[in-house]
Amino acid sequence: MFQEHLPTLIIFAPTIGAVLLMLMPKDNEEGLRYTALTVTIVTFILTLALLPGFDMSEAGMQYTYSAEWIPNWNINYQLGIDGISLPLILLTSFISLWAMVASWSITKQIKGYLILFLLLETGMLGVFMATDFFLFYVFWEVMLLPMYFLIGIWGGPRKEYAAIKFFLYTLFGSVLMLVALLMIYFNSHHPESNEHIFDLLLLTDAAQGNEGLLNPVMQQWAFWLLFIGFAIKIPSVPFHTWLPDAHVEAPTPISMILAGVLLKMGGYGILRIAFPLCPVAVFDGSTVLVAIGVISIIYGAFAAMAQTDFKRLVAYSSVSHMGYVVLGIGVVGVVSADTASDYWKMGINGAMFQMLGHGVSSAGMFFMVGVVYDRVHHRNLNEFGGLAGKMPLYTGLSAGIFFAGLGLPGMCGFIGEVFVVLSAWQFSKILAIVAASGVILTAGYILWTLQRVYLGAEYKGPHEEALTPMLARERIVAGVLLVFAIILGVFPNLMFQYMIPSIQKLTDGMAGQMAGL
Amino acid sequence: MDASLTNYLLIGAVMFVSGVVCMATKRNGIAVLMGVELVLNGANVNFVAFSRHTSLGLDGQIVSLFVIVLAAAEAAVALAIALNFYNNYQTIDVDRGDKLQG
Amino acid sequence: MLANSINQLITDLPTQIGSDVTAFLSELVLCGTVVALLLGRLLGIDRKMPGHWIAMAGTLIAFGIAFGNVYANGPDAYQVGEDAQLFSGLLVNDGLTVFFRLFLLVFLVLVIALTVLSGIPDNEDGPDFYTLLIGATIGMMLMASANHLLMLFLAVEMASVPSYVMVGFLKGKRLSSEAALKYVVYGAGAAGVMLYGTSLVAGMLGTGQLHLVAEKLRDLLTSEVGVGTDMSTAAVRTIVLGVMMILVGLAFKLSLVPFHFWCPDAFEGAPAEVGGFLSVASKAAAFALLIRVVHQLTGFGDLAVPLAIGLGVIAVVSSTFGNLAAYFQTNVKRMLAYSTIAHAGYMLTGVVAMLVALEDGNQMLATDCVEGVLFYLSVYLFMNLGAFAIVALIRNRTYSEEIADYRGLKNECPWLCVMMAVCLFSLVGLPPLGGFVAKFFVLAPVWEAASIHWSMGVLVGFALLNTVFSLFYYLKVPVAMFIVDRPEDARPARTGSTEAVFVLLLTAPILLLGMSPLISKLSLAAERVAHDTITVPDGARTSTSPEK
Repeated sequence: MFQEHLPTLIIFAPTIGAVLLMLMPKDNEEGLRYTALTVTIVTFILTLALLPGFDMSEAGMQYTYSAEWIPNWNINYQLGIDGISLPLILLTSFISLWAMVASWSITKQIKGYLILFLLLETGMLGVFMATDFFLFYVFWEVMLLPMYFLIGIWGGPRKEYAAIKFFLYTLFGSVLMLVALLMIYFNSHHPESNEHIFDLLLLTDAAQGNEGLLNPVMQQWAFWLLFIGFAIKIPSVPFHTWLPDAHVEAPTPISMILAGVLLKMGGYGILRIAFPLCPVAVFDGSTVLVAIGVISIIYGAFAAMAQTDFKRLVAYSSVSHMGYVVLGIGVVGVVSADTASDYWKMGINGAMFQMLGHGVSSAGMFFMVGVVYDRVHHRNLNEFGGLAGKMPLYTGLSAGIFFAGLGLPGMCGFIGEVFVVLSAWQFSKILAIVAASGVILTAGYILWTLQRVYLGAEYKGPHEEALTPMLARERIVAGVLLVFAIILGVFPNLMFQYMIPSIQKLTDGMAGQMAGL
Repeated sequence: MDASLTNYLLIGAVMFVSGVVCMATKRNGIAVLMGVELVLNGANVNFVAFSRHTSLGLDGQIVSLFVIVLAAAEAAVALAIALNFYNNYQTIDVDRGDKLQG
Repeated sequence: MLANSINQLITDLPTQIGSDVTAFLSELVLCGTVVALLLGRLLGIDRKMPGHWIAMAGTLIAFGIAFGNVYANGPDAYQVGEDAQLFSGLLVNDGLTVFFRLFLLVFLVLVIALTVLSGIPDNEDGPDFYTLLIGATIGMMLMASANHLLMLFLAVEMASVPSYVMVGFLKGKRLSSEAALKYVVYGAGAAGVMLYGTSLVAGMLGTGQLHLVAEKLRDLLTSEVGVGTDMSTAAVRTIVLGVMMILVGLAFKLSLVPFHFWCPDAFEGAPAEVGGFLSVASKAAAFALLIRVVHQLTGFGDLAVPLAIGLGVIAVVSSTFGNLAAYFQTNVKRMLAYSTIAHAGYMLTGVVAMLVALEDGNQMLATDCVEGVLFYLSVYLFMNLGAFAIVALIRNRTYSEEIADYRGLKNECPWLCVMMAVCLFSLVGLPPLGGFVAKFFVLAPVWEAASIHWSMGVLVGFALLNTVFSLFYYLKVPVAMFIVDRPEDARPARTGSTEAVFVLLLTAPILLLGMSPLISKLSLAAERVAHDTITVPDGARTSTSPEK
């Protein structure tokens, strides 16, 4: 009974928390903060409760729950968790928890902030668990409004511009997704009643059956519409231009959530929806996907190197790192009608792990930027320096987290990159070499940044006296994120064991349609 | 018989068009309302003509009775509004109402 | 001929009158309320008791009757086809009528409650205002149940004439009087054109009843049977001209481009409560009428598809123009007026798809289209009334309706600001709010109709593009309220808890219709109504439909 309702409980626990906060008086700041923190802790524990009941050998959906919502349109409130969504759900609640701890630095209109934060968490968890396309779309869009207000009210100097840019870009992508949704809906048939359906599981079965769901031309349209919608979120070049502004202007905890969780939804959406429903288009478009991934890696890295704003640099590094994700999922190959190539599976596994690793490391990187910004109120890289002397613990933790972002072996960033590049080698050697050289560029800008900010003899910027040692709460957040970055880097199988069966099912299922091509 | 119908329709059409021109070009509010009356009565002529010459029968004449009543009611309301406008603007020139950009 | 008709009338009258009056009871109760309000003024009751009690009592009784009828009888609350005709075919009491009767009565209750809360009208003018309000509502209910071309005209006039006065109700306000004058001139003109078109159609076809018009039109266009005039293409041309003129009149009521000029001025000049009333109720009634008229025009044959494309172009232009013009507005009511124009465009898209579907013989799809429009209207009721109600309440405190004076309002009345944001974002069409589900239910059948004619796909594309455009201007108000700080010299704007509760009552359905199983209940009811309207049983049609 509890197992059955656990997903619903996880999704709506933050909403219940938001309602609780609404009823509390807005002057009780500490009370509000601790209540919200408790809610995120409870949500995290609930997601951990998913683990014991999760069967790692099972590739299909578990914890499924289905209830009628709008029966005459065949829209159901349908949830399910498989190996692809489980690590991301854990990542969401984990990062949300630490972003909530980081939210202690928000000082104005705390009640509104916390309520929006919790509503955002509900949306994120809902996206990862929905197995009905309409429900997925609703949860996807639910994230837009809280994010807009979180950036627009609590952000930096250009917050309104960044917020509206984020909103419009994402809304445009969502509208494209809606067109694809309509195309898929009207071409679908329920196996028994022959009505149109939104159920992703049934749609996947139909798409991977004999005739497929859509004819090849329609598949191309649907896939590319969906891809553009998701690529805006990833973000892939050339749809990435909203990210630097949004990240720079957003407050630190929101940057953590944006980089840590929201960006992963693009990749998740592609794996959950675009890939299974349009296999033929994926096969034809694999070169384009790989090319986009590689371009994102290199462009993001070069752009990061050119930045003088610390946070903007980290934002571009996110663009670059997420390029590995697109690269990893794009190295399509099939062996036979019911098996996909091993390197493709390795690529997707690597892409998924990169999402997890980047989630932890980029959240950490943004947090570290936030720590120093809270003190000196500027992010100009040329005016830093000598922080190692003034804040040694901070420097140590930062170095660790930035090395994780760099992809140092032994840390989480390495695993994802290595798997993706190895799989790309089998697909196209040249692109693999280019992708690998992205690692060198990444190392370049991160090490240079570390040198400019932390090393050196003296601090060259304003407010030198504000550089106090880290507070206890900051130490906890940074410490935990660093520890997890190391754990994921040393014991990657902790996550791989969940992912591999479901990814296998995904790719082998798609192979059927592709084998004839 | 047909010729007579066309003649009546022509009269109705002339009334309609002159009413529309009146509404569109006149600046005096009362003249605009006269245009409205012309349009409605042009339609009335049509109805009565059709009632006589086609199978529309009594329906046409009943409709025109209703339309006369309704035109009177509408004119009363429109004149009241025009009077209100005059109280506020001291003129009945419709072009002088330009505070709203629409 | 005269003697026969009178004989028939006398023999039919006693049997019919009982059932007709019973079906018409809600409207009669409202008429009684109007009489009571006017008599109250005569007898001096208005000095002892404000007019809104009588108005509210009458409306609640009428609503009780209508609701009780539906509740008790369920699907038998209305008839279909021939049986549904009232008053010798002038009105029809079918599903659409019952739906809109309930819709308008609920809306009227909410509007009267709003006027009580916001204090417009004052006690002295109260009975007059409520007379006009209720009179307009009766006219709108008649619009929804019209079955005869005369009734079409009379109902449109009955709905419009009181609204002319309501727009100019604040006598001392210069803007109001100008707005009312412009509205009455445009409105009377449009009504005149519509009447002339009616005369042409009724005369050429020899009948006024809508279904007979449809039949005779079909006969005229498909066979060579003359109906009392010369059979020539001139006849067809005249009828087409007549239909165009009728549609002009309806397009005026719906404020579609290019007949939208009255809308922003009327809304800016009118008090916000009246603006809210007009934006929802007159649109809803006009859409009911449009659905009926367009449904009967399926006899148009080859002309139906060009008509559909023409209407589709109007829909796209209305949405686009409405959204683009709204961006430049600084007055909230004017902005909402342009948004009304845009939303009329979206809903028209559904009607256009219905026409295309009926032309193709696909009644299922036509039902879905009408269902979408009905659902959209229901959500639109709450979204728009909520927005106008909040504008009215804030106007009472800050004496302003400019967006600039909404800056920083979150500090003063946070709940109202949140609910305003909910209403506006629902108007954009963002999940999980009702506006998204409504847009989806309207656009999905239009997309499906694209398989019949490619232009429907273009309509959907434009509608979605317009959704993105509209975000630009709908965001202006929440940005001002939440993100910008309150200027130093602004008036205090705290609002009471009754007002917050009332607005919550208006916004809660938006959330419910976006997220809860209530969606399916409303959708099923709308589908039912649409089904019974579109698929009229064969007994009602006395001639055969063209083979498709």
